[in-house]
Amino acid sequence: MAATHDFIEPRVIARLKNLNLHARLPMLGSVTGLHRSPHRGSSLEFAEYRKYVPGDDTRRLDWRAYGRSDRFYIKEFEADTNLRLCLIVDTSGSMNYARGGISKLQFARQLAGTLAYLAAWQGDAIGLYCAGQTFQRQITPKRSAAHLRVILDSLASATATGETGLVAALHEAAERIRQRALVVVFSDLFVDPQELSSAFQHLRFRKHDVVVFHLLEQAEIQFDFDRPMRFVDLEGGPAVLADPSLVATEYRQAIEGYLRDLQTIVRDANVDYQRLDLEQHYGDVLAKFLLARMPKRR
Amino acid sequence: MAFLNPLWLLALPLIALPIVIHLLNQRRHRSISWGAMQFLLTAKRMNRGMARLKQILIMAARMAAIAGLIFAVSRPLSSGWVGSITGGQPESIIVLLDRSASMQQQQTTTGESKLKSGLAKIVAALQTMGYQRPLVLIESGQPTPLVLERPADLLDHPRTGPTESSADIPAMLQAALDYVVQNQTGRTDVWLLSDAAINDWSPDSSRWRGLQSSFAQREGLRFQILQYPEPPTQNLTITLDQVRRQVAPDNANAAELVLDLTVQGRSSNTTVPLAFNINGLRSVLNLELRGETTSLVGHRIPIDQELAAGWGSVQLPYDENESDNTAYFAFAPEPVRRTVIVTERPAHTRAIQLAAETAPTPGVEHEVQVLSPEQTGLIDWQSTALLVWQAPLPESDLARVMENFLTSGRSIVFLPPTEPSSSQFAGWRWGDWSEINRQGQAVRYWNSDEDLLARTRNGQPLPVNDLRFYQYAQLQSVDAGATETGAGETGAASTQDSEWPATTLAQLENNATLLQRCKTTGGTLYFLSTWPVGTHSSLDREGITLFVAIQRAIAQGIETVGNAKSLAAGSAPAQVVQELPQVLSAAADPWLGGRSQRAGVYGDASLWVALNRPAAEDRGQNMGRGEIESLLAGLDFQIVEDQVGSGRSLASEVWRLFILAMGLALIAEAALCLPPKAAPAAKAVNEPRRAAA
Repeated sequence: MAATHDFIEPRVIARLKNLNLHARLPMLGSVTGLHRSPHRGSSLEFAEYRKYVPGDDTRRLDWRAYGRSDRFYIKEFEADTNLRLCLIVDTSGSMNYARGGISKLQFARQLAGTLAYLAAWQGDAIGLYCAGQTFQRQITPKRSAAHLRVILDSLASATATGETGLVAALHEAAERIRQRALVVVFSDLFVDPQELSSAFQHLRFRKHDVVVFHLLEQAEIQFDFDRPMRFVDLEGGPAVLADPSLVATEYRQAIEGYLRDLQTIVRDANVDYQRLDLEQHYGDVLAKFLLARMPKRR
Repeated sequence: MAFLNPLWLLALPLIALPIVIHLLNQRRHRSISWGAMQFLLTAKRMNRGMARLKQILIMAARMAAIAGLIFAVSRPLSSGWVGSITGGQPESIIVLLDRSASMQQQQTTTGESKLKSGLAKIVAALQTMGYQRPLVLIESGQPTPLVLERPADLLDHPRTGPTESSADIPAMLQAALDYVVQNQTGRTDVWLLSDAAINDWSPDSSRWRGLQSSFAQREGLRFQILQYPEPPTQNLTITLDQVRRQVAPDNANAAELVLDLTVQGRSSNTTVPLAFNINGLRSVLNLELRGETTSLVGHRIPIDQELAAGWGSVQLPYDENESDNTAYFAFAPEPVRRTVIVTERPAHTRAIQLAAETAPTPGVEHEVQVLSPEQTGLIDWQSTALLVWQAPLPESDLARVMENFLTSGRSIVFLPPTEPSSSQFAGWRWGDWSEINRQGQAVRYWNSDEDLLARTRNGQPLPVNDLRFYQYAQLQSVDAGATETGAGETGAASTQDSEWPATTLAQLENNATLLQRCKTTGGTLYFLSTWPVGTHSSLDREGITLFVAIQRAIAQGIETVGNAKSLAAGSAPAQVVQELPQVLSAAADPWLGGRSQRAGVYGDASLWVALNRPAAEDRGQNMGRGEIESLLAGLDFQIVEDQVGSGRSLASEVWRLFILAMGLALIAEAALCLPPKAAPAAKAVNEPRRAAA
């Protein structure tokens, strides 16, 4: 497979190719893959012994154990399967925010595209949800090279406009993805925390492994403007004229409170939460993310 | 608030600079696309309370800092002279100085007097203003302008020291007005230092009207009045009513001095020691005080029989005002009390002759010389105490001689001539005779407070009410050209048009003038508009009033006739002491030019002159602030009331306070601008990390 979009950088792919994408939770796949399955299988990874019951395949009896204990045991091994990687990209207007560098949407494209590429490389199925008010796209997970191109093309053509439809998209993904999947969300999460909490709980209820890449620019946290500004709402709302010297303190208080709430929500929902700064390089972000997900050596 | 550099105040609009910058900043906004609008809207909602107040406080602190800076460089003065020095320094400053005896009231602990304290404060204020040009001094002793090179000269100039005389504030203001008019002084500040004593200000004087209108016509004149109206709390004054030498009643070969004196005022001591000094011999008498006025009458002190003339003093202990603690006196053989009566008809002045011949006090010789108008060349002007003139008013050379007679301290009583005459004297002339009726008229008003018809020493009024008058001659003012009799609604009508101020002392029921006084710089001129004969009045039958009045007129003149004279310090006759050696004085070495202002005894064996403060200085009545304001109504003035030893400066620079205020404002601004302490959670917010694994 070759990268054909500008948000896929071969240099980054080459760097990350040796790092597999792992799910934190067992996945239910259709073919053999790199991911742990809830079922026993035929991998080399020993799982456990269990007592023989009539009907079991006698080839799986552990005769050495019988010799030692005079009892019949079946030796079971982990099953390795593939996963469904479901990428949910927020395409609301606020994802167009950029201050000097790339926009949040572009950053999300780089992350999602590279993850999709890596997942396809390791044989996983890939799906895509674009969550915006005016741009809604759903691509169910499939694992084929052609499907990867569809995914990448969709990412490339995604535009950020209007209000966010993230919460609805999360609920819909929770309902539509039939089996366990790795759901990765790319968003600035400018939504009601309570609604977001509900959406995360819904996904977790459906046993999905949820990852959130929270895209925030430092200026959105620090609000370090030095003169009155006219703030034009990227999601189409009315513009607001504000003097940062008057409202900076209150702004920071508000966003700090929001982030504290968000921390609680992701902790309660056991969501893998990654807050990103747009000034970071996406390759570094993904490397760190993938390394953190590597299974521990036994 | 007063400022030394008021031009800087033009920069006061700069106080609005923070607001202008704020508004410009508001308009200088640029647009930015923003996603986190929900937090911005929340912040704006939260900002409506304390944050906005904080912003307003920051703005106010910045404005206060600028205001403090502008005020500081404007060199503000803290003083009671509010607004007095705004507009910069005046072109001229005239200092009017009340050096009267009452200005010597002092703090007993520090010895600082009102005069000294006020002078020091004026000098300090002028120096604070940076005024170093010459200034004009007009002081009460000699109201002639004196130019001083520097304000500091006020402190040690002989003409700014204490005196025991009175002040004539209207005369000083008139002198200031004359100076301003003659020298075209431009923008002038007139600083007046006084204790607001009524006798100094003479609020009833009609001169105020003229002064008020004259000053009001001058532009650029400002009056700064520094007054010390605080009355003394424990001060005693001593007044010698009479001193005479007599042969001891019980020993014809011994002599003694008999003194009548009065001690007035409040004191915590019920007994005060009186120190007598007679020709250098001292004795002490403990006087028990009873009430606010204690009189010692007929106190006899034995003296050397050979001592015919001499001098002395009576002194009270040190108190709040040293100038009224000593009474000086001189004594000499009583001169003959000589009265000259010039009359057309001796019968018409017979009662006056009898009154003048009768000696009220034993041992005092009275002599009367009756002359016709043609015999005036026989008058011995030097030895005459009183001249009674019943004839047409004198003119030309004789008039000038009589004016000199008056100004030398003697008295003249004019009675109407037999026939009306066109002759005039001192701006007055006799008109026609008016006949009333057989019942006659009584006196409607007479001045019982002072002069010839005043109450007796024990407060009893003279029996003026018993008098009847049947004929009188009209007294006419030459300038007015109209009959002055009946012109006044009240008996206190005064006329200032003539050379000497005239006051009506008694009026008949038809408002006709019965007795009028013209006060000269020395003696007194009286006009009595009737004759003491039965056809004209009952003055001869009810002779007590006439007797007392004539004796008082003689007593006024005799003061300047004898070899021992007792004069008021600062009065015109007191000028004689300038040529006499000093024997006793309130000042250790009084400046020769100001000697007549200082109490003391001057003279030699041939003439002793005792100078004492005028009796009016002992009245202790002060003008209210409102009264002074009414006198100066229409003028640009301000009054500051101060106290001796108050420590309050008239004008001290307070720019340091404004610098301090500016510093405080800047500190407050900085404190308000400080960002709030970062909460521990903020660190977590700013540093992304994995929240959950």
